Amino acid sequence: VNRLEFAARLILIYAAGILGAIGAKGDIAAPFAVASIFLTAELAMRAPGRDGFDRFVRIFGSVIVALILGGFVLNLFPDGLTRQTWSALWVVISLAVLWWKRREVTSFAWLHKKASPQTAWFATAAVVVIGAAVLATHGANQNLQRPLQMWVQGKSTGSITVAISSGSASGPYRLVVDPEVTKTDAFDEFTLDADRAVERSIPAGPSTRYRIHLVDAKTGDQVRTVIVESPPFS
Amino acid sequence: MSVLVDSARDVSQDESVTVEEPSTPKSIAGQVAVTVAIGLLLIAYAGYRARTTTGSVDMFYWPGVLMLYLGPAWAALAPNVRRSDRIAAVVLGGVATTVSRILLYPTHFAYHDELLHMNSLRLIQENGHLFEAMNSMLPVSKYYPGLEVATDGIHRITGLSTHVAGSALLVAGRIVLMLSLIRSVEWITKSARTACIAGALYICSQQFTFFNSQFSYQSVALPLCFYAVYLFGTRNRATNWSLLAPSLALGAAAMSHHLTALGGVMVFVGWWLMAKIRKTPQQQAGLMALIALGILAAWTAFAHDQVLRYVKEIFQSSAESISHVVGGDQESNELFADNGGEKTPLWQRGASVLAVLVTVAGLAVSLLRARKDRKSKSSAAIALLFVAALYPLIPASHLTVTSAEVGDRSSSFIYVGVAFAIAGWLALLPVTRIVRSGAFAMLTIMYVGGVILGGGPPWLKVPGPYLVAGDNRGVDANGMAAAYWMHTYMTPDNRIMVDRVNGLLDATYGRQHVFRHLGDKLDMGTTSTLLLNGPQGDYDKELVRYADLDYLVADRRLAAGLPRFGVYIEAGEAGTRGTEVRRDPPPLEAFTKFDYIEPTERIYDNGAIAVYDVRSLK
Repeated sequence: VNRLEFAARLILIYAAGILGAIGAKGDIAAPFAVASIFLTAELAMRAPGRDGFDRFVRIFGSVIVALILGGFVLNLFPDGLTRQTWSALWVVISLAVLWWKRREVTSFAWLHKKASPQTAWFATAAVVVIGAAVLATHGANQNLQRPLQMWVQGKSTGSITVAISSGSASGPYRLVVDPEVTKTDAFDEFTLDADRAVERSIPAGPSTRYRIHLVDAKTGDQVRTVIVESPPFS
Repeated sequence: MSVLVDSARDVSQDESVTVEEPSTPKSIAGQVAVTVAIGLLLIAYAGYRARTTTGSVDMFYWPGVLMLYLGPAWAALAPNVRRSDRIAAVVLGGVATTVSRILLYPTHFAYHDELLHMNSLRLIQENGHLFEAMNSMLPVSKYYPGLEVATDGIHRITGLSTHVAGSALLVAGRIVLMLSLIRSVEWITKSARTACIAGALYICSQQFTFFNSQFSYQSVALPLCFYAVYLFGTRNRATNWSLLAPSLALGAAAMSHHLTALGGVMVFVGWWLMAKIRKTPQQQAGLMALIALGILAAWTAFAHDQVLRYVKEIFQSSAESISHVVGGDQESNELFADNGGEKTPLWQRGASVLAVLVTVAGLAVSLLRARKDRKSKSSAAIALLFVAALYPLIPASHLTVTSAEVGDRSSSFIYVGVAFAIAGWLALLPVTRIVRSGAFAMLTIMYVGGVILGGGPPWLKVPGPYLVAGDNRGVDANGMAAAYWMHTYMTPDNRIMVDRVNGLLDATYGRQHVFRHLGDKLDMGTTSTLLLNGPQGDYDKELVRYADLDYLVADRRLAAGLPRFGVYIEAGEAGTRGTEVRRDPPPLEAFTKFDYIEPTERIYDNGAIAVYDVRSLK
């Protein structure tokens, strides 16, 4: 490894380690980390007479083995498996490999090679796979829209608070309470915006079992129900 | 020099290349990559349609599945393809099957075993340490956290989500598995073509596309076992130090999955035994077998309080099921039908049977041929041929549901022998168009049959509308919403009684302790009546106290049909004990009775799922 390459590798190792340790988002940390992991494993697995496939399988195999055994080593430390300890471990491993293989010379001849017709086929395949991933993710996200939900947010002496939310804008709704309680603003009609919970406080007598229904204001159908025991007055 | 030698030849480099083919090897990996990519696009579209329409998606899914395989299989069989392209094409085919599953569920893991392991991962991440928190739904996973540890490492170092990290690990594992297999067979046979045909045949294994592609502990342990064998077989020198790398790989496998590690150890022991019997040079096979046994024994001793019980239960229930079937006390496992009564389409049943018949026939011919020149074969090759001869046990194990599980799991190893044996035969056939077409058709039939057999009922393979206790098809917006609500509004680790699918979600995403007999060591037969029987008066309250429950989750949709996997909660629940067979779904009152049991509270409702606070009953 010449000085320039050594320095570049050092920068990459530390950048990946620091980004990992501070909890940088995947969009920023992942390119550095993946490059660091791959280049370290590739350097470690270089050996005379080993063909491309042998190096390839050893790169992936050694990373998986290192991660599993590394996790067990981290488990022995008081902090255990955290973002910081994982990043520190990877920096240590990468530096050890860099020192061990410091006399290796990396060839960059492939950078000057002309792209073969195969490259165009692979590029086409990559574009198609990316399209497939976008399509699949779009479909999955559509399918996981949150339903209309109602829950007991809290209860205190004299009142019960319920919350209602939905993954899409909907309504109008109103609340109906059984047994009936004094009419308040809580019973006004309301609509829901997507993923924004609406809270309503309902006056409650002591030690009473209430059934609070969410009713579709247009059809009068009960669509959700919670059942709450109000606390006794102290 | 490799320590493995065999007599098979690389047909692509010798005189058997026919005149109709050009003599210069072709580069085709790029073209194969495009066909595989189109297959992935078709599968992604099938998943998209399955979520957004109600029609059948078979017209996109099955062509997509075929496209994943046709190119790699053709590249493996063709006589005039460059070695690197041949290997790359087959590896692409193997990796594509894993990617196809990720494309069907691109945002989260959805299958039963996947969610079990996601829960184990969550417990490790919350604890920061291994071997401490127990996953009540799979207690044994506490001692086999290789998959979770590696995923956690990728997640922490890269900042990617756990789902993306887990998916990346699965893809990396698949690359390791395919390359280790191909390179090992290549070292044994000295033929890249034979090795690639073996790789293409291994893709036909019924566990390959689904079971061994999911986020589950064997999916990382199996590649590590193959990797250990590859590292051992392809050592340059037979020194003691050269055993370090395969030992570390096997150690990582032993820390990942019990039965797979056992399979890996048996490979080394079988190898050594074969060398000893045939009096061929052992090349440290004995020492490696000893090390492998030591690793397995040490880890099993460490995990003994869970693993022995777990493995014993699997084999015991298999033996009991078989004896019940033989004794006439129990009906045999109905092939090609799920527990909800849905039948597999006729063409799929035909293709499955045909695939088994073709495999048996191909294997019989291959073994007979191999028997003739057995003396020239290495010990590793002979050991693999013996393993291949075990193949009939796999279809035979489908006599009962539980024995089928054991048979299917062992197929991951047995199929290596099958692939090796049939590849050895196919590679030595004359390379004419007719023969090659026949071999191509044979591989395609075996592949389609393997996908059908390994994928379970048709609905299990793709997303779609909600199905009762339908694993991935039971995971929907309602279940996810309830689980996320628990995460936000409930304290963690409450003891909850909940059905099979919602239990997975409520533990993994809701951070709750799900009551299960494996983890809680209490009787599920009686406790399950809390969810599966109508009102039982004071007995319901007694059961809440017996199981020390905090909350109860009632999914009213369970009353709409029989469970697709035979149970609503878990094996041993009411209605499935001993030889009991459930004929009807539970009544709707089973899921609403707590509305009337005072002073329990219904604290959450999303239309399908209600959460009851039952702490006041304790």
